[in-house]
Amino acid sequence: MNNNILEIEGLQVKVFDKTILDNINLELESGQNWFIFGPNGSGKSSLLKAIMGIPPYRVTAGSIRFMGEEITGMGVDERSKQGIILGYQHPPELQGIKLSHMLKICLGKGKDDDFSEDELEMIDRFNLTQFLDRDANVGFSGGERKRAEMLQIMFLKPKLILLDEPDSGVDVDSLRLLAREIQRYLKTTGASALVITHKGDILDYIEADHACVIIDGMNHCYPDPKRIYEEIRVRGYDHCLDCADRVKEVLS
Amino acid sequence: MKKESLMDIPHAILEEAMKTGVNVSEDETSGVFFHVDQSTIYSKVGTAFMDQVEMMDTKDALKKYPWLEEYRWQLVDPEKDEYTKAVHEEWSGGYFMRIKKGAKVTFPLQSCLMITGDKSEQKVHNIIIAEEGSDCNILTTCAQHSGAQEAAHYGISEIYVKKGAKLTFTMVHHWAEDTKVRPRTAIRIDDDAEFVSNYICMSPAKDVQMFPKAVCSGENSKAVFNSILYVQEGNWMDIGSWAVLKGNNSNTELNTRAICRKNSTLISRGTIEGNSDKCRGHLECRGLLLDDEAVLEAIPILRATKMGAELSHEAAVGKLNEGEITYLMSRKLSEDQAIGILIRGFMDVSIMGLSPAIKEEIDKIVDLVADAS
Repeated sequence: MNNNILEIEGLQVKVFDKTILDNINLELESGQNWFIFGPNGSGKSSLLKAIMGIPPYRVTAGSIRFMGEEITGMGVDERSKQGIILGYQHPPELQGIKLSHMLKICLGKGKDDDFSEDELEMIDRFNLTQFLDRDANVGFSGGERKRAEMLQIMFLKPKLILLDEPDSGVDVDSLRLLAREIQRYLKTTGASALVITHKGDILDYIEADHACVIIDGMNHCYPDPKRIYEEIRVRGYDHCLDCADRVKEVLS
Repeated sequence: MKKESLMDIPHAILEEAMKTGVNVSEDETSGVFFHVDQSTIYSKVGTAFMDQVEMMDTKDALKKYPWLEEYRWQLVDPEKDEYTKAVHEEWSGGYFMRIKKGAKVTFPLQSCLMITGDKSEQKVHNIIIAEEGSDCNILTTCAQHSGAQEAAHYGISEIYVKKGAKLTFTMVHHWAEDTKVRPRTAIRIDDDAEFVSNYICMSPAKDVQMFPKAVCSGENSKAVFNSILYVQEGNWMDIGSWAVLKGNNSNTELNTRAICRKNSTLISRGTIEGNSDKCRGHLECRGLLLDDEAVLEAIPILRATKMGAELSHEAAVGKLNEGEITYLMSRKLSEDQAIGILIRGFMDVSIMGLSPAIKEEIDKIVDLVADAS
């Protein structure tokens, strides 16, 4: 048996009749972290949602295996219980559900259970103590929403974290805080992460092994994330397409 | 026959009243009033509050205070409909509450109107006067003893909130499945005064129709209507609130949360009239349908007659948001658990400042609904 936490092979994903992703292949070793780059609308978020099993993203071909087990037939709740957790880019506002309640759900606690001292300390580290009695995400700023989302993920103790643009809409200080906490979690637990980003700053905090670029619903190249990011920053995604075409030519 | 002590009231009646949030401990209320079927059986103000409030049967109050006639049938027109006409012709009493000038009443005044007899009609006329600068919470409950069948309740309530006063009026309806309910309520709110209505109807009633009208006649006057409704099998409810903004800088908020299921109908109305050069009103109705057998109709009406009236509304009816269900499922919850939590969240009434007893009773019913879904 190999040491892969996630294996995606020939994956095709459709939303209703429209093909969003085609022939995605990816092998993530246990303990590895990958960044995913790609222009807007290329299918990055769709890939994470398909891995999580979020409707209406439907796998129409290929397979997704988590720790050796095929998961494409599983519901969102089963996948989360297996240890796959998606950090939403835009978590919904939950009227009438306090942030404290959401955090307790993530911890597997009852609504009336107390937080432990360690948990309270972590809530404080995420600057969320004063938000505990507020409805989750209702009226939260972008940064507050992201901090609340990330803390829930930490409390869920995932084996594989899927992060959809954790750096969008957050200020420099919040980004540093969040990225360091993610890195600390990954390092101490040996969990893996797939992280979508458009920015380079987060690469300074989260140690990643590989990166892939998704363009037009297909993924390309897997070398050093910082090098890929620098290429994209300087030469744009068009260069990635040229590069991919050259690779195809060589292979054919 | 009038009782001298709460302990003299039959246990079955007290128990039924407690279900609706009535606190029968005299230490924690400023006064308690019971009108059962056709007579007032108990009316007592706590010793510590005697300088602050007066409470008695309306018929007794009219004998004691001839001036009270100036408040009777002033806000509600006796010719309005067959129910007002019926009460005008014949009535069995009701409560008169007077919160005296400047009194800050720390414990709630409680009234319970109850029907225990089969096929009986209860016709009452209530008058509340919150005098200048007073502040009081009133908890009024209308209940039917579980043994009574095919009853009807017609209640006229005229409420006066005078200059600088604040009155919070919480009404809990706890009718049985075959009761016909026709409350007719009107409120006048003077300068710098505030009226807050919390209406809670979570138990089945065959047929309820009510549309209380608050007139913000004073400068800086305010009216708030919060309604929590659970409409279930065989119920028909046509419920709304109506705010008229006449005073300069008057304002209103109308909030409704409703859950409907199984062969029931809810018509949720809300009307705000902006008749002042400077006034504000917002209406919010959120309704949740738990299956395809119920009907939920939201009818918001905004009517402005002055340019300076700022009126708005939000109305949303439908099922639970699929995206929110999935989000909760991505937190290791099953679909059923996610739906239950969202229903409880939808009916969260913590902002209304209700008493723990009422809140607990609402929570119990919401839990039953959530678990059954």
